[in-house]
Amino acid sequence: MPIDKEWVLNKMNAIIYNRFGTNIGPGEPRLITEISDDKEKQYWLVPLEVDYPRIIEDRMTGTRRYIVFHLGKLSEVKFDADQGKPLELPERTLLSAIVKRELMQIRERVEKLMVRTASYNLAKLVSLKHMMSPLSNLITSSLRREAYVLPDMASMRRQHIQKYVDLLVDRKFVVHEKDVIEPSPTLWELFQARNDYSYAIECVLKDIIENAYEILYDKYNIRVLHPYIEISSSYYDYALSAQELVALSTEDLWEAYSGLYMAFSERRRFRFDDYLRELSQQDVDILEETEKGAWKGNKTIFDKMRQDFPIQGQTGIITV
Amino acid sequence: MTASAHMVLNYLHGKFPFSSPPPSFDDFREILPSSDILLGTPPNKIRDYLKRIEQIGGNLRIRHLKGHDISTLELRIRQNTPPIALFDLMYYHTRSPLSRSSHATVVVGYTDEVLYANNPVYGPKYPYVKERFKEAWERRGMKYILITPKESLVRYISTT
Repeated sequence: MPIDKEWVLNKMNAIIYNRFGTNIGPGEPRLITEISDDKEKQYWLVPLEVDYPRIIEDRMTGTRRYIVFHLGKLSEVKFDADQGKPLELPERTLLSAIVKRELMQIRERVEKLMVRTASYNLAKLVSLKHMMSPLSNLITSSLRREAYVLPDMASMRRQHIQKYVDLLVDRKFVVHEKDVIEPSPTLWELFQARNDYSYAIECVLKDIIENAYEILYDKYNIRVLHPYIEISSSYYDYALSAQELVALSTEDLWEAYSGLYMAFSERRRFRFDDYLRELSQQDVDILEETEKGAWKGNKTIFDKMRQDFPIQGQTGIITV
Repeated sequence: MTASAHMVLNYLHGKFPFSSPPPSFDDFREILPSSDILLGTPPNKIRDYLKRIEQIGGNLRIRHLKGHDISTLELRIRQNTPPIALFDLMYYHTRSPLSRSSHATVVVGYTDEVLYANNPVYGPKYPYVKERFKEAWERRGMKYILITPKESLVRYISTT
């Protein structure tokens, strides 16, 4: 007779208590039979499941939310069903690496969604426009002159702007032949819609952020946007898990950002207030500073993200 | 778990002063391995963590116990040894059977209807309805932890 399920569960609970941690619990055990050397042997398989908690305080209302993400099975422990001995226990470092990976996947999904949803808002960031001024120059010059002759290939100037030329060609905003670039029909359309160079530039930036952000980062080494995306995404990650546009204090938002992105650094903390200021500028409008000095998101962005991001694996929210 | 242990440390320092005050919670957290943030602290490791704090190392007794009823927790409160109870918080609030984690809370008082807990999430005197708390506590094996000064220390302090 194999040992009973209750016994295995108690044993698993004791192991978790001693070795793994309070966020872990046993799932439903399964009794299996394996045949080896013509002998049948029974085993209990007990899944190790994890709940990851998050506490969010709304600074405007003073309410606290305790959110639990049920991330599901991390691993499994096999018990000899005759003697009740665990055959092999997973390393704690392995379990924590799996939780980290799961959380990172959620973070990446939120980030991609945020980039897609708020790309036009991000395109209005002054710092981005400043960093991408060669790209703006190329757009303006090619539209004004209809055909813009690039500087000589050997020149420093050309080497500096070449990556922006490549990016515009990649995204099909200009046509490049020898040393000349011309606006593509798409770029003409964008410009003619409002007869406004700034609008055309913002639309190009929006497209690049939305569709080529990773290329921008990896291939062109243009990383100016990175902290803005991470900080905004941290806010919307928390808001989505709370299922509400919560108002986070600067400190709580910093904690969220530094925790989600492992971004603990004096330099980042020093610049954090300024990033928030830029993200809340009137045109950008990704965050808004409330009267109590807390940060709230943009309802249109949040509602759109919420539609496209059904909460998965979340066990529940307790509001106090 | 660690927040609850830290609360008990502060409580004990008020009753039986250590040679120097316990560390701040942020300093206490520095002791923990990073995996505790993701997996939670294994309750059985609390003794090791407390030992690492120089000023209290070795002066505390940590007991892992199992209650049989809410009256067990009430007795500990009357004995001035606030217990850290491990229970299913999500089940307490939502009756959801999906939750797997254990939540630790320091039980600090009681009435006929409720237990008061110093809860890291909800604040210093959060009322839990006894009957529901019992069910949520049962789901985690009615376990609780007592952190008390070692007998010798209590005797030493009471004679000085």
